[in-house]
Amino acid sequence: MRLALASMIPTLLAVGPLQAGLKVVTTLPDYAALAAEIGGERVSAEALVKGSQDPHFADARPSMIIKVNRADLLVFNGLSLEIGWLPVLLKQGRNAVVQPGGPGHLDASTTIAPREIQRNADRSKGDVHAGGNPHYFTSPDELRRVARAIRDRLVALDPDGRRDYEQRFTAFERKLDHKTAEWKQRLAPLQGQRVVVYHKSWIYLLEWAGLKRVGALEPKPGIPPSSAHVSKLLAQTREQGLHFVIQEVYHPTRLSRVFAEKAGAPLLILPSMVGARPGIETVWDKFDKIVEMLTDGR
Amino acid sequence: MATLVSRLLILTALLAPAPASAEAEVDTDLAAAIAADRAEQPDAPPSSGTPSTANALNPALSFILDFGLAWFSDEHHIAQGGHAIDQGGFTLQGLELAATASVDPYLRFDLAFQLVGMEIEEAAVSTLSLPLNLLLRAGYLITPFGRENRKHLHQWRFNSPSLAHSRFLSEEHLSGLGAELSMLLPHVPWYSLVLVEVLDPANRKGLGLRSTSFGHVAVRTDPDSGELVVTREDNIDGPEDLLYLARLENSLDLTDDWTLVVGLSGAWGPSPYVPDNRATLYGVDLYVKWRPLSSGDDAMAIGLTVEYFLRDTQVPGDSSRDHGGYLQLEFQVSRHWLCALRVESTDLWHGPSVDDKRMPNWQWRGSLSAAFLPTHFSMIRLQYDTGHQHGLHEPTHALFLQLEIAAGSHGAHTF
Repeated sequence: MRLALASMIPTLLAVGPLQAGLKVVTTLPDYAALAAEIGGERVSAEALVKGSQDPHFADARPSMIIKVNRADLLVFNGLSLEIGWLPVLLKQGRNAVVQPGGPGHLDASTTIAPREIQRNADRSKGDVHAGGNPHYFTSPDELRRVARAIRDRLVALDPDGRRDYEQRFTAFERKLDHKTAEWKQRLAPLQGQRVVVYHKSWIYLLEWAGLKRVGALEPKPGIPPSSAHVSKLLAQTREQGLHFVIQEVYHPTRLSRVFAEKAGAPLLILPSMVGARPGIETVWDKFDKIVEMLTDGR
Repeated sequence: MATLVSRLLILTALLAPAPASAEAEVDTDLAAAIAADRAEQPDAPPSSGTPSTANALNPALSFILDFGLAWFSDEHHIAQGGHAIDQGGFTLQGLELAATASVDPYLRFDLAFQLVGMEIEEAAVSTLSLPLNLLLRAGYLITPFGRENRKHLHQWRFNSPSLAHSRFLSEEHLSGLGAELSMLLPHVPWYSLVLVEVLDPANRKGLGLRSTSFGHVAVRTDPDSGELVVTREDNIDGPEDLLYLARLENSLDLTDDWTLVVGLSGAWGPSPYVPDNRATLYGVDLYVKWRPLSSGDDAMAIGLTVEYFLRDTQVPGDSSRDHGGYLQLEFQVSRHWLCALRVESTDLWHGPSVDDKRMPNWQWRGSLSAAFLPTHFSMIRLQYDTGHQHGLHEPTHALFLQLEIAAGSHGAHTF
């Protein structure tokens, strides 16, 4: 019992005020990683959702309200990804700085070009996002744009740190250029390879990596796979060939494993976000792992 | 299907973690080309198309329909409460129109309109940016007394409210015209909220106080029968006729997976049963949720809710005290299955009952439910109840089948 209480202490303390200068709160861990990369010692960055968690279905825990209440900058994904919980935090957080229109309110989706916009959105098409596919954090190119927006917002909120933020962003971009070249080189042999996904959340990564999505195990976004749909998809992939089955860590894996085996392709449970797996603590770790799994085929 | 299941059982081998690969040789020409491309990239690239913005400033609207079918073992059974299924056969429990929008940079508007019965459940304006962590709400408010009162029909884990809710708060929600001020306590390392509220208990043309514990009443002579009757008044005489409420709510994340919420509530106001008499209501609530986020299995969750109420009501020459509560255990098996168990009772502690019909001396009930959610926007629930109360001959049983759909914008859920 004493041990259990002792183990709770760090968690309880973690709810308290953040230590560094600017308090950056992000919905997804990737944006917290970017803020830490660009902000350095001048910011403390904390994500509300874990990388192993489905960000569509987070709980609006009261501890998150406290974090939003005390934030100087809130970075969120947008495109309705957090629509089931973030509005509660904004309303209850009673922090004008991070409310829409406030200087600390950053909708990261405004910096990117959304794919798969639903011009005639209708729930008969599944749990669609009218503004576009919200999973753009799976592409290094899109994260570059978000990082740039975070730099600009940090400079606006903390002008004294402009030089630091710009230097760190320049270093980040240099590293991203270098890593992108490395990743692209390793992925070059995979160009045009065919992929089945569990949920249609990988379009940004697939475009960036030069892979081609030929189907999804979910017949429509958010709708559980059906035997008829999966059987038809399997027949199609057997005819046309398949190189990978891809999914996130938080989706069920049994069907994916069976499908992958029958289709003769490896199942890759890729880390879609920082923290999705132990040891993935930065965006570099994440994309290193994704590229490694794609190139190794396991 | 059987073949598939057997294959699923057999194919349980885990993918081995991928070994670290050797560092690839970076082509400097490629890196230079990427850097050149990047330099040409605009900060915000042109979108491949944007959805219509014509409706962007309209309130987010949704319709929520609850439709049920019931069977009771005896026509004399425990009253099920507001919006519940209270008779055998089909019932349209509710059709709620929910709307929400920011009014301007300072205010937000929330509406819940019940089309079954054509009544406003809530029409509230909230501030967005008061200093000192304050938030002011005004309008026709659902009061945050305890946990259950704030939840709308589609947020219940059963098709009926708890017995304690119907007995101590309202047949629907404890709600009324008034104002509320709450403060998120600063410098406290956990979530701590203090809230005070004042409601007008006068009977105001469909927007009067909805409460089984409070109300402004007077004794009148019925013009037809000549008998003295207690009637709800449509005006108030002074501050002593208002209903005052207070709540303290604290929450802690015990670990990444465990969350605890504890609340204390109190309400003080005029009794709705005897003119110029007072009533007080106290409540304590506890909610514990376990969701294994740290292991990545976030589709599963277990929640325990306990609420207890104690009420004192003045009656001439005496006082009436009754109490009750419920324990609810909910088990989210997966994104598509949710099971729940509820056990509950209410009891007259001492003194006379203020309303024999609606508040029997004692009652208890046990309920089990299993809900299937094909998507986030639809649900089918099967529920079994057994219960007994003072005045019934024996325990009764009931079965319910409920269909719920939500059409429109995706509402956000409170914890």
